[in-house]
Amino acid sequence: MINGYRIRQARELARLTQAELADAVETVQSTIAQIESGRLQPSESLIEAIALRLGFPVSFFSRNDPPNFPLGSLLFRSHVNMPANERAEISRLGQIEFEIAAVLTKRVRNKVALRLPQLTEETIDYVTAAQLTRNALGLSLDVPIPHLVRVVEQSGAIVLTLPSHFETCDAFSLWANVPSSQAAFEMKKPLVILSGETPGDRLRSSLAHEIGHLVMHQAIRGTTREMEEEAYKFGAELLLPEVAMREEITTPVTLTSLSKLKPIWGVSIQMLIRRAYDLDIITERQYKYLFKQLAERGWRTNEPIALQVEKPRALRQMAEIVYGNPINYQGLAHDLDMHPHFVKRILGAFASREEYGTLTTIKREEVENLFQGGDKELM
Amino acid sequence: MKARDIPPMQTALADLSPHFSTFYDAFESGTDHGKGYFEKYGFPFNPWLHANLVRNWVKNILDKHDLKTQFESEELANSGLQLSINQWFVRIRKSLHGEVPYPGRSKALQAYYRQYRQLFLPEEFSVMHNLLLLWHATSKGDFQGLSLVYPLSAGVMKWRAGIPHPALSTNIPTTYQAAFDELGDLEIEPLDEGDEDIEAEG
Repeated sequence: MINGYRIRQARELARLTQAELADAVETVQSTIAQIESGRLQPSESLIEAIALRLGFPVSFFSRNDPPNFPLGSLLFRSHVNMPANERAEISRLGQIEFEIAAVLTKRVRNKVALRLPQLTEETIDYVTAAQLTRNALGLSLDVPIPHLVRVVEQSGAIVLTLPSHFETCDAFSLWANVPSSQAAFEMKKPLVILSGETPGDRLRSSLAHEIGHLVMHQAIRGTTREMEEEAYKFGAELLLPEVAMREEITTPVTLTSLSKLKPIWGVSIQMLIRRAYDLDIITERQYKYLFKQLAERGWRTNEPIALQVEKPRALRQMAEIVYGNPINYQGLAHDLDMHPHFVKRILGAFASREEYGTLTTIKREEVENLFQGGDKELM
Repeated sequence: MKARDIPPMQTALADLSPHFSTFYDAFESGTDHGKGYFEKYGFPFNPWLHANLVRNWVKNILDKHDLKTQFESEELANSGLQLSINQWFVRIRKSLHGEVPYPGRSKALQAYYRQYRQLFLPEEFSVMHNLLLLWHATSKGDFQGLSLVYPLSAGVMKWRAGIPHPALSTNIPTTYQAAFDELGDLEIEPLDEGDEDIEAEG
């Protein structure tokens, strides 16, 4: 029995319209529409052609519906201008990864407790929320977060990363029901999906932003624009707490001084400038002048001192536990009714044990030494 | 001076590179300070005054970093700064639209460009070399960068090197390799046999 929902899922993943798929498999759009809605079962030759075009084994299209996967923050401001087919592809990729996570979760014992707070009361402002979140994650207000993805995964959130980069969406988040091997019922868990190959500093600020949505916006409060602004400010306070920044960003604020802070706090120079302005450490003129300097040096789009791209680990770790290390991709793909190369591509975006031991931020003394020591490759 | 006596550019850059970050920081903050002056009092921008404000600021910042600087001439309005580091005398001058400015009528400056020996040398060096550290700025006073020049005479130089911004020139390792065993994996474990049975029954 072919599940029409699975065809729609795979079609949207391939960014095809019904008409385009129909053309590719030499049928008409209405036939695809009827198959997807469950009103028509495709012939054997047609489903084979569809499977070939969409890159899944035929068996994939007989699977039950995947777990429910809401759009979450994909509905918010920063994603409204996203082309519909790109939004669908991102959502479907996230859904596939979520399904893999759901399948694997049932076959391991996950002892990571949910520590991420859920602060839905409107009286709690973003500063308090960020501070309470830091506290819940075991972080004081005066220290950088050396590996944000690790900290978030250790807080019980599921972090997934897409195997390719989407310029219009660095990340999105949602709360979803996840099955468990320990409980008979599903558990509601926070989920963050990261766009792959996003620059390290952007990835961290986007993740912090999404944590803000997860912590504060389970229930809608205000307009989406207001929620986006609140999530941004939450992220800024989470990564760059005010109490620490008032000691760190002291006048005169220069590109050189901010460049030194970048690898210590693991954020972009642009975020540090904005933070300094929001905290009234610099004036509007200084804010504009610093951005002008960034633009003149070409740093608005290509900042120096590239931070590492943090990768999540949990999905790959679960696969290693169930399917061995190195992972038996044939076995895993068989159980998921997917092609091994597709599964390998997805898991390749997650951290190996070795990668997970690499922290993003470095110590202040090292930065000072490096800046003092200069570089021997001067022009 | 014979060409073979002139140290290569890399030697000068290596000797001075520990201070590049300080130089950049001083000029960036000096430029901002100078612009803040005009904003504070609502005066129209004056590039000559701005340049002097920058020089004065830079002198104070370098002095704070124990790079003892002095004006070429206290009485001269647009006087450059000078300091010595190891075997190098360094005169800090504002570039002329990115070019090396001519020494002008100052005999001392002309001699400096021609690498005339200084009479009083630091004890540890028998030969000192004269360098120009140029700071580049737009007509609106925006700081653009620094370069280092070994002059031979007015309009003639042995070499010139752009000094990249320290954020670009520093090979900063942006990752820190922690011991994995110290950080550990996530607390996810295989199911034991009992769990497998429950799972199978479920």
